[in-house]
Amino acid sequence: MCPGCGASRSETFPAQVISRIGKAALLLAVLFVGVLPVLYLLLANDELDTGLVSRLSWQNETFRLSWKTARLAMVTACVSSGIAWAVCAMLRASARPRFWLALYVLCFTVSPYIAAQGWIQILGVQGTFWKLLALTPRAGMLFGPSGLVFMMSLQMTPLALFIFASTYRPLDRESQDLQALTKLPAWKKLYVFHLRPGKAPLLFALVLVFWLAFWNYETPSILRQNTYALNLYAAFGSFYDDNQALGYLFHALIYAVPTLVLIVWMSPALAANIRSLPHARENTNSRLQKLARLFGLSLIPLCGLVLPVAGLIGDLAGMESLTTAIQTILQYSGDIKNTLVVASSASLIATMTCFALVYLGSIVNARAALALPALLLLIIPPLCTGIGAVHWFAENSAGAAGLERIVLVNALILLPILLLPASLAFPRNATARSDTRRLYHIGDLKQFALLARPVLLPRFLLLFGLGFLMAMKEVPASLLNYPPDGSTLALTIETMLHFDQPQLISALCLIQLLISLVIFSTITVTSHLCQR
Amino acid sequence: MKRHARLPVLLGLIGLTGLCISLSCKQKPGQESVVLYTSLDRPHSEPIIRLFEKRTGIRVKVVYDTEAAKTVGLVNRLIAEKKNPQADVFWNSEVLRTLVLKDKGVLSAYASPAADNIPADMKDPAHYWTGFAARARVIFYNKSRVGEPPKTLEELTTPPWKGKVAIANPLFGTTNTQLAAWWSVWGADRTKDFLRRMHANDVIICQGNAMARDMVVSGEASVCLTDTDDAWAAIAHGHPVGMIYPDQDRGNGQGTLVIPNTVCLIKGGPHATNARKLIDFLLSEEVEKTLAYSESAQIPLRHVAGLPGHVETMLRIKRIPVDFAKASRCVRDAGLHVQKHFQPK
Repeated sequence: MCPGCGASRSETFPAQVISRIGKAALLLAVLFVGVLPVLYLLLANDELDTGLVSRLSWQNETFRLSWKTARLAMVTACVSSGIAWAVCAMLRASARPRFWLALYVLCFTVSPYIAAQGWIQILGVQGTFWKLLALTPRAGMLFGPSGLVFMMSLQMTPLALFIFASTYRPLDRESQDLQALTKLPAWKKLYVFHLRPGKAPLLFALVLVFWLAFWNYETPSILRQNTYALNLYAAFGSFYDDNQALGYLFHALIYAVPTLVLIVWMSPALAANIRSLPHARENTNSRLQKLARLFGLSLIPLCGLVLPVAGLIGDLAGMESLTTAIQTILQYSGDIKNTLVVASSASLIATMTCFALVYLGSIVNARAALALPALLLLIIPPLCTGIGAVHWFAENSAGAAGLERIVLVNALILLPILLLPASLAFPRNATARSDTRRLYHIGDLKQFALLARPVLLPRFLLLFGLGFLMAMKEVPASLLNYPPDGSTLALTIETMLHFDQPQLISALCLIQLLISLVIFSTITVTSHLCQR
Repeated sequence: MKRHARLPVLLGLIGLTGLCISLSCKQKPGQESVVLYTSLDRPHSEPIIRLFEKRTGIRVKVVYDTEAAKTVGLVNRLIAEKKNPQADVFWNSEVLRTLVLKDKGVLSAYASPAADNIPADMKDPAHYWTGFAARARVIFYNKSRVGEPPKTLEELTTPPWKGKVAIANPLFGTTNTQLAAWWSVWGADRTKDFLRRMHANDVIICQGNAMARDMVVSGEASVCLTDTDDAWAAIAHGHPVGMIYPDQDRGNGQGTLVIPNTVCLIKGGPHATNARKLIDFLLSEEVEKTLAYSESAQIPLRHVAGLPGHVETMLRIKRIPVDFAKASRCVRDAGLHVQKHFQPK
């Protein structure tokens, strides 16, 4: 007899087998779709030499470089997630959480080039910081591992924060009372009431930031650091050697082992409801605490947004007139339109796919297990997806390239990034399905519409917003797949960056920020209205 | 928000996406077109393209590369699209990547009548590619920090320039072309020794030529190796900087590297007739002159009357005697050496 429902063993056995088959099929399907471009690059490549790929992936030099990059990425992941955790706690206590969240999201939109250049102007050899304080410049601070970690953390903290903000639920009243009454040391309270129940998003943020930092190409190259991604770029862009590039990619699988350990460790937490963040509204009324909170919240926006944007606005002041500014905007209206099309379509496709997968996952009891393909897919850098996709499209589709290619590639890149927050955000309605059906005589879809949709819609909108922002600034894969005359704002900014045209770059960057602000504000307001 | 009002929000999002897609699909019917992939910097190539459109009425659909992506974009695309070409013409800002495409069978031969008076060493004997409007590798220096600029590359490895020289990462771009040229002309041993001495002299290895130039402009480095177009852009903006063509001593100087733009026809491209018209236009003296007058001040490969005074002619520059085909075969060995031994410390 089944102890849970009283059904006999003969009744539950086939159901269990079917559930397991469904679960395996779903996971394999997700993995297959995500890995398809790289698989195509591997299988349809006439010049592939597996021996060479294997030799290249086991070279000492490759190990040395990958370990150096992995260490930097690990530190970045810890710093970003730690700061985001603290900021998220402060956000819960803040009077204007949506305002702060919007500011952090804008930080995430700032191009890495703009952010790095802004900081070079401040802390470089000729930096204003040294001039103002009449100190001897110490450029090594910025052009070294610590500077790289600082810059990458500035970029990644908003992403980690977004994951926390979109997945955590506040501590319920019962737990708050329990926390107040329990006589435990502060660190143990923090662990028991906050870290343990919230470890899934924390670990997910760590893994996501680690891989994004590991494959980050632009910031290390601006800050003159030799990282693993730079060598992958060289394989594709200097030697045009897919064997070498695949060697680098396969070598990176070594770091999949700790990722898998983390997934296994977090899987029970994923299966449980996510809740809890320090919720200190009642305890933070003193003026000093408010000031400390304001300082803590404004630190990242100040470093990652205000300073670079102040430079942009300063550059814009050199523009002759408002007419010139408007003419510039009109000149690039096609790029703005393409950006809106690509970012919104890619994000919509990715978000809807993720939620559909998680819904299917909840039916076959595989919601938590979806983390496995999602986190494994993060190992594939966007550049490899882009190269595989351009081969796929070129060889399997007739006719001229259109925007749909860049939309699909972006959706594919977003899929693993959005899948886990989607699974964390999904309510545990699967176990209640049969009860609900029995009680109300309704089918799965109706039950979903009545029970899950009201909870899901605000989260769907937030993840759509995150996907939109990520697709809007994506460059390597988009560059390989954008159609003639189909450039996006991010691509145009990249093509114009190295010319002495600061006004134009500033205008385009500010338009990008403005679009982010408008879209994200609309989404947060709508999401808030949905929750009410 | 009322429950029944939530669906319209979602539908609104989908509608917005659909509207954007429909807006993006507008196409003028019946207009002739040609697809150009170009790695020449957009601010320099765009005016030329618009001029061609104005002259012929043929719309040029362009795909640009980015400086940051370092030739990853277009060459990989062209290789991938070999069986189903999307582009008609590739206008490359240098030559070695064009040779990669030739080796991979992406190009089609086309002997443009406009290329008759282009020097023989600047075009392919089998007409797979043709060079025009070149840039040269120069030593660029900050006048306020440097009294007497170095006149040879060897000087950059000496103690007075320790920690003061910037160079773009030789794995990419025209610095990679220069590396391959050294490897093919000097031989592997001399090149390795030169790189070792540069590295030991604390050379600053940065992202690209433009960044090396900016470091000199800001005073972070005193001199750098860069291209003439990057150098002229800084000079035109009134910065206290100057440039010299290295190794120009008529007796012992080995000369500097001159890198032409190259244009080639893509095999099986969808608009072959218009592609040939575009290639003929790009190889015209008018385009060379326009590029010479542009901010990039590119050097015409043939005699063009009425050039601006600051633009050198091919006759006045002592060039390193490089065989580009041989240099392209050195890219891999030179690159692998650089990957191991010439990276930021």
